[in-house]
Amino acid sequence: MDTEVSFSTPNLVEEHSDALARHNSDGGYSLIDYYAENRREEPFTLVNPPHRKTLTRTESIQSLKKSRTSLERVQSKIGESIHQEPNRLNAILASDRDRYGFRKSNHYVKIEDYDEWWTRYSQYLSRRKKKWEKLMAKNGLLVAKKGSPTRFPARSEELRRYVRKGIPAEWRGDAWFYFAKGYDKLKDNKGVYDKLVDETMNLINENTEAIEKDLHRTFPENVHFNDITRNGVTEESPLLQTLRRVLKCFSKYRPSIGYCQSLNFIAGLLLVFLDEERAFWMLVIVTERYLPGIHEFNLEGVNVHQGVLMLCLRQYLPNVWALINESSHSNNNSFLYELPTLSFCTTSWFMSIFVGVLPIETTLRVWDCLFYEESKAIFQVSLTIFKLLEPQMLDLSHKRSEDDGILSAELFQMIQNAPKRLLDANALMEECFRFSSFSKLSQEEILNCKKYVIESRSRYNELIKRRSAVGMDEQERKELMRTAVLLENKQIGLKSMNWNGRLNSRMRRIQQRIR
Amino acid sequence: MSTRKKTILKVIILGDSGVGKTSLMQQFINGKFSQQYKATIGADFLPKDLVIDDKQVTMQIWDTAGQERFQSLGVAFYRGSDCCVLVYDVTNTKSFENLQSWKDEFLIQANIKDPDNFPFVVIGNKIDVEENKRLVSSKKAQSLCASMGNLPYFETSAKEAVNVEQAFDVVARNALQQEESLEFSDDYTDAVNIHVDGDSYGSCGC
Repeated sequence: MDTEVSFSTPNLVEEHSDALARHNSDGGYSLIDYYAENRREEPFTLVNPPHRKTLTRTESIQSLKKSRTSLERVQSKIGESIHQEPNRLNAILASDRDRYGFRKSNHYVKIEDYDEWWTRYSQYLSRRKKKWEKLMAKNGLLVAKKGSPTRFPARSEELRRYVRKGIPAEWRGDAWFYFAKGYDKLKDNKGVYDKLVDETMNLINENTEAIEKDLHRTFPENVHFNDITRNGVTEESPLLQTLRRVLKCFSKYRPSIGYCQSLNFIAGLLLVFLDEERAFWMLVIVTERYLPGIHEFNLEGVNVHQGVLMLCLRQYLPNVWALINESSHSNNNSFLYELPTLSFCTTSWFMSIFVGVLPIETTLRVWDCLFYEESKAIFQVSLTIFKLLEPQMLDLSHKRSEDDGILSAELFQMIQNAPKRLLDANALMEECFRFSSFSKLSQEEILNCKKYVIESRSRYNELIKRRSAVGMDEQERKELMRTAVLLENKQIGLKSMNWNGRLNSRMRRIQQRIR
Repeated sequence: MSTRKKTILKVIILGDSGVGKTSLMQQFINGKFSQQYKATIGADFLPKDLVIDDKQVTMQIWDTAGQERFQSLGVAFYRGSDCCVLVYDVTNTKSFENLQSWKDEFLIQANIKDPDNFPFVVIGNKIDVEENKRLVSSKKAQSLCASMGNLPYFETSAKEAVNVEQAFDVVARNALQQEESLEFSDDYTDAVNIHVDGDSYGSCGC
């Protein structure tokens, strides 16, 4: 499922000049921008989708250009706030927003805690930035004072260490795109995105309806994703318009996925760091290389990844595993097909890549590692979260040992809520890559586990199919088992049997005899 | 002295995406509404302690993702539910039309033994909207609930806290009744643990 992981250095010069040329060409719309901005006409509103009017081609192009220019304005605003020297503390400390426009505090993080952490972290950030600049210089890569590099050093132990300690926020978009081989994608797909935008402009279907429902529910806590009310008139945020386009184009480009909830979070966060077209291709890369199968219609990829996580927990954190595993048979792998209830907490860890699970800065640090180190980073971070929670989980299990129902509910809540307080990204990453037994976990191991889980699950599905083929559905089989097993008291002998036609008749005979 | 186990009532909230499942749960549990809820991925969970006729119970409310494809993940935590709340949005006809399929899906996934007597509660949410935006009438909703087996029906506004308390009171009572009726029945589930692997595969060495 994962594409082959290779880290050869691509032919940089050509791609980059090409990519840059494309981005500069955005400026070529100036005439239309001027036109659109001077018409004093209400921008078309998409706030209430059912009443949305169909646009003519000219109108579509105008509104697109207009929203792209306003997006550029918003992004340059975000860019500026990211570019502010982190040690100029006051701007963030005085505001209720972080440098990306997210609210600093929420139900889980108090503003005092945020400020206290930020005071320390921002100093760390400026130290790291200087180190990055030195690293770039050492590799002969010059970075303009307020610019962002489009090339990064060749892969090395050193670079990996730097990435794990955090990519400077102002370079993040470019770095992610570079590490994920985004420029290859762009080069192979010239003009594809613009064509998709054009084709999906007036598209209305199940996917676009689902997208509309989620747009305003993506980052309500981020100022850039909120509608703008000026002189009593509400205008939709340019970032939301862009997010809509990216998601619509994606649903058209990947019909096997269409729109899946959680893609809004991934695309939304990408748009804080990348321009529209590159964010789109990054979303494509995420779904095909980093999280293959996760967002497909049957979500089988989620089950597979959860299965891998369960295997990792069993291997690296047996105490945690003992609490999570519901199966009484310790040496059986049935948890790969019937995942423990607690795995519902971790669904969004994979589907949204920790957006909304970890605080935003921590999430970004995970993304840094993910795009450099492949999907194993998600598993390592997940294991780290469980490792950090282990003492609390064990404590709870001692207190609640008499009541399973309460325990699993409280564990669920703990796993659900505790990550939201992990503001200290450095502590999490250090634990993950320096102090833990799974710091050496390799991508190859993950791929092997994945293969194993996929095979096990497909064998199980085969078995279910065969069972229905022998003329008995799940319900009837269970009923038969229930009466026969209970009254014959032969539970033990029935383990690991293969259900087949012969067994069907045997069970029916037992049942008749009982009657 | 015997230590009596606390009664746990497990309640699942189902319904189309964006009908207000998270808002209803938050309104009931925390008594507040926010425009800031994000789309639910997977499932969320909140507990609430209640007293029903002098009986101490803990209600565990499971909030789910509404997009259809998430149903393929739903199997595990539907099981053992004591009540299922089906929510639709009175301004969205499709969400109303889907109620029956949500009910059916739940009955299958939760493996309910006695589907005719399992307690469901139907909620029509967002009645705070202007009259002309409302697309599903009370009459229509009531007749559907009658035809689905006389299910209790409530119209609520999670935003303005209208009727939420009342709806969940019925949810809690019906759930308690269900839980008590189950205590006496023989609940023998999942007799067979399937070993697909046989013993030859062992661990994957991860």
